Amino acid sequence: MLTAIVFYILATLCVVTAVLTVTLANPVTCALSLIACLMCLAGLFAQLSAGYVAILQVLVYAGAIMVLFLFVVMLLNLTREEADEGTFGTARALTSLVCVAFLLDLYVFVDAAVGTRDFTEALEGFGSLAGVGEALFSRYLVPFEVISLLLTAAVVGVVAITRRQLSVSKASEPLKVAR
Amino acid sequence: MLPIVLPVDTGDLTALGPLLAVLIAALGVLTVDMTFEREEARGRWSFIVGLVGAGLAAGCASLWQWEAPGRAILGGALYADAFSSFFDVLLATLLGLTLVVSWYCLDRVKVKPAEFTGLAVLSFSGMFLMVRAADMLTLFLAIELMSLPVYVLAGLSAGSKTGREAALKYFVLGSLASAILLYGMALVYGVTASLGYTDIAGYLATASRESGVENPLFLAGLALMLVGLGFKVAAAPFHMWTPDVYEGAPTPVTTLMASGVRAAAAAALLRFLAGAVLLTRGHWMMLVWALAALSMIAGNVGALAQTNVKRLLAYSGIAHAGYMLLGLFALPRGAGGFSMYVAVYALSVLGAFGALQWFDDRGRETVDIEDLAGAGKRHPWMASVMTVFLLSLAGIPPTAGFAAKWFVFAAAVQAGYVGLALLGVMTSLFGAYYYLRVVIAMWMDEPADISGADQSPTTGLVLGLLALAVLFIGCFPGWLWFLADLASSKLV
Amino acid sequence: MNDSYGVRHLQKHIWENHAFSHIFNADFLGFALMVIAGVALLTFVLVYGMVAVWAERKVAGHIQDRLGPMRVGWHGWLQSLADGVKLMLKEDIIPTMADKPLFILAPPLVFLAAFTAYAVLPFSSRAQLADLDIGVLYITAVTSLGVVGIIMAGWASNSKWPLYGAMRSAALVVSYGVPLGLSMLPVLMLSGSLSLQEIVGNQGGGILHWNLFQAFPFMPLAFLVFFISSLAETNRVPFDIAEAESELVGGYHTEYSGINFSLFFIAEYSAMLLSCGVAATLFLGGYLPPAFRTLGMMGLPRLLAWLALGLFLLWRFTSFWERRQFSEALFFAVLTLAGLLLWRTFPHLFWFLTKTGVLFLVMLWLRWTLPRLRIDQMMYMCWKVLTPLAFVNLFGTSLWWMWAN
Repeated sequence: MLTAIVFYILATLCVVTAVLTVTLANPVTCALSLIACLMCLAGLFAQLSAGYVAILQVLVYAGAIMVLFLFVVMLLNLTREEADEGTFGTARALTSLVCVAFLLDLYVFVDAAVGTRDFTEALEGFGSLAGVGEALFSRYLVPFEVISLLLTAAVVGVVAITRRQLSVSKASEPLKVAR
Repeated sequence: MLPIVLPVDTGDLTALGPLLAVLIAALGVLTVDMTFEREEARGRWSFIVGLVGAGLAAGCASLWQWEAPGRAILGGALYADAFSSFFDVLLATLLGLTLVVSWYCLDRVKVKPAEFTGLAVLSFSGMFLMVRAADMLTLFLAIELMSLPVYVLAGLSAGSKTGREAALKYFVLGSLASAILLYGMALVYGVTASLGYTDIAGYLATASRESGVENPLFLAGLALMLVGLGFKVAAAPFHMWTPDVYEGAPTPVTTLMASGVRAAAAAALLRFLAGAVLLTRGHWMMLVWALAALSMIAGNVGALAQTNVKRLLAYSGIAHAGYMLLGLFALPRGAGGFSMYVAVYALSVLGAFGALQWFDDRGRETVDIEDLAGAGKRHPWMASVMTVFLLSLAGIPPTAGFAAKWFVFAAAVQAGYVGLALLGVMTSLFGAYYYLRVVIAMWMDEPADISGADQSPTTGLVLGLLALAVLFIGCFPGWLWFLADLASSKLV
Repeated sequence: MNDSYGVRHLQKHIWENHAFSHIFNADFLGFALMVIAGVALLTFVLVYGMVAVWAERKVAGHIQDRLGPMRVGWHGWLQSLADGVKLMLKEDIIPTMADKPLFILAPPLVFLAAFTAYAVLPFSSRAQLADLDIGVLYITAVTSLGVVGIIMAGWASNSKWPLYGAMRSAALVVSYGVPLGLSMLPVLMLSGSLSLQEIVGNQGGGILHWNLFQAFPFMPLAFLVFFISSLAETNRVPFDIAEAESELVGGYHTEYSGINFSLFFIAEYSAMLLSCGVAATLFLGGYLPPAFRTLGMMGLPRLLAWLALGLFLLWRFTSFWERRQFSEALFFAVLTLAGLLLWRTFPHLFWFLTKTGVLFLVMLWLRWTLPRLRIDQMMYMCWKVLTPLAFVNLFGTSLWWMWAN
């Protein structure tokens, strides 16, 4: 009973904030409602006894990635006119269309998949901290290590690009890199 | 403490030799980049480390016992088999050649050698992973590891407008392709509940038709995956980015994109289609058929109108993607031809871009056909080398390109796809026209202002040897065919 | 040790097994009890915060060779209460151009981020709202949301100083987050658990078993990195560049007034106390007593300590009595009795609060001693000093761990 109430509150909030994310005009508000959406998702995960996933949802997405998003959005500093431009242009109409088609698609597919496949209950300890840790260091050892390489590549790439820009701007005007 | 047992066996590590060699080289280049103060020393040492890595990788790969049966290692994430060894040797060769061929051009296009080497070797480590990926997760991560450095490389000399456009286009479309690929993987995983190729094949073999082979969710996922991988091998209709990116990126980077990236992507495609979803051939064949036919037509027709050699080679690359895909039809038998075609194409296109870099003495990011006019009179040796590569790409005997095409078309015909094979032959004839245009310009026209004063003899020598190798394969294709077939036939 | 018997009963009612989902899946009675416990915790945090504000002002005063608040109560001990009342009665001004919903939402969010984390803080072996098996991660996750509130406040104010503050905050959260997380890892490695209760339990047996004194010199280093990073996390000097009243006029809360401002204020102090509490839990044995007995000092030090305390109290009381300062006498009597009661009846709580308090005093001491860093200096510090140190430390600790096992 209580579980159901909490679920419906969270689910409603989740959908509402998700819709707000794509409909609001101001990018900062969009990002903030996405954070709210992710928080609600975390709540849903917690309801499913997946506490670890819930925490990661908050820690990684709401806490870290979205803060970066906000930072970038604020750096770009869209003015009201730019943000409002093309509020409902062809691109948006097309996007909405694609989204609706996608939703229907998903419904059909999921229906087909669920209809033909029986889902068993998750094993004890599935998605727990120990479970995830063990999976990461046994079955998924290689992907896990490759991700670290991937991040290294990303860091190297970013450094290569920014170092270039730094040297370019250095040529035009003396840039003091203070320590 | 938790009883976590790492799925690492020391025997597996020897099978991973080539991959580890390149990985260590990648980290070594980064270390060199940190250690040396002077730009020159950095460039030189990273170049040496990269070359040593490539050499070690090639050495380790050729030590593999080719007759040994393949097996999945490291908890089923990677394969150790002859197929990966075949492509290891190819990729190591490509890495070494890319580095050598680009070395003297980097200054001209204003890319720092240390950065180029570091990113190229990192990208190649992704490719080495890609050809041995045994599950979709590893495949995706390997593709990303391969692509990320190339995105950066494409934007490294983003001084010009076309360069910036190319970098941005490549990045945005590449990310989109990755997203589509990932979505497809998610759907396939949703149906089969497994990531590993063997497990997917096993599921398809045991499940009922409705829940397995004919499951719409599964087929949708498969189609999306094909779209994503099609982007990476630049098959039409997912080829739009190719000409612009090839043209706008610095030529050394284009060399890397045209040879290594596509070879690895093609190998991964073959491994996935043959290893995981061969049972659903009936369904994805149509898609591959369309991809192949469209690529052959779009590539060759597109190339006809080009005046820029880099764009021309880009379009020809699309056409070659089509020829490669031909090999996928006759899959149980066509695998060897496919692998051989990938190897020959990668070597030839690398040679062509290498020669282009040699000619492009002013470091422009674009080279028109007119710029090559009269090259035969000024630099007869280099012009002959370029001619060999172009003829190989055109598929004219006695070059390797002809032999490779022969095996692919033969396999398609044997499998009963005469129509598509005929289409391939027809479009090849078209193709010969635009390659010959470049050749004619080089030998018949009056010299343009190519100075070529400070061209490097080392690069010329290496390219000459590569041209000889292409001729050699063209005259004696048997051994390469044998190796490719040996490596690929065990995939199925 | 019969500490917090009532809380234990209450807990047992709610937490049959320590599963996170029970917050939502508990029955209505459990839910109600949970709410009551939450309100109790809230009251505690608010009072705690008010005492902290007063302590800050007194310490500041004495470090700067002045007295600090002296008027309300003995040495101004009720000053925070008076300030609170004042702020509540003040007009709550919302700038015309502000983004109103976000502007109003931001302060509660910042406070919530700090307060929610208290749910897993082990005040004693039983006085803990929820012993999650991922407690450390929970604290990290929840506190990381505070910066979202700060960014909201800065953006919604629609004014340049708050925006600068918010930008600085966003830029820094990534910088200090990395060493903060990395410096916790050695502790987790030693304890083999993320449950705060288990981490404390592993440090039992006296001061020498505290994590701080393990794996020398790695754990002290980890503590140092953790402490410095948490200073940054709580926007404290020398890392208070998001507020920086001398540059940004208060940064993200420049435009706030009245009750909303006081929420920010309380949030900052509860975040500080939380950080100190977490530091005490992870490194200083949490609520466990230092247990001098293990050091071989049986009766004498204890006797001396009692003697000193008695003499001090006698001196204070006679002093008050002679000067007819009855309210002060009362204050001290209450304080002493409360302390003694706490010590004798809830020794865990006593030790936890003492350790937290000492760390808190160090934070205050630093604030009134060090100048503020520039943003680039802080970036340098986080990325090029703390992060490598934390990595080396992690590596060293794992080597030590392998050697020790």
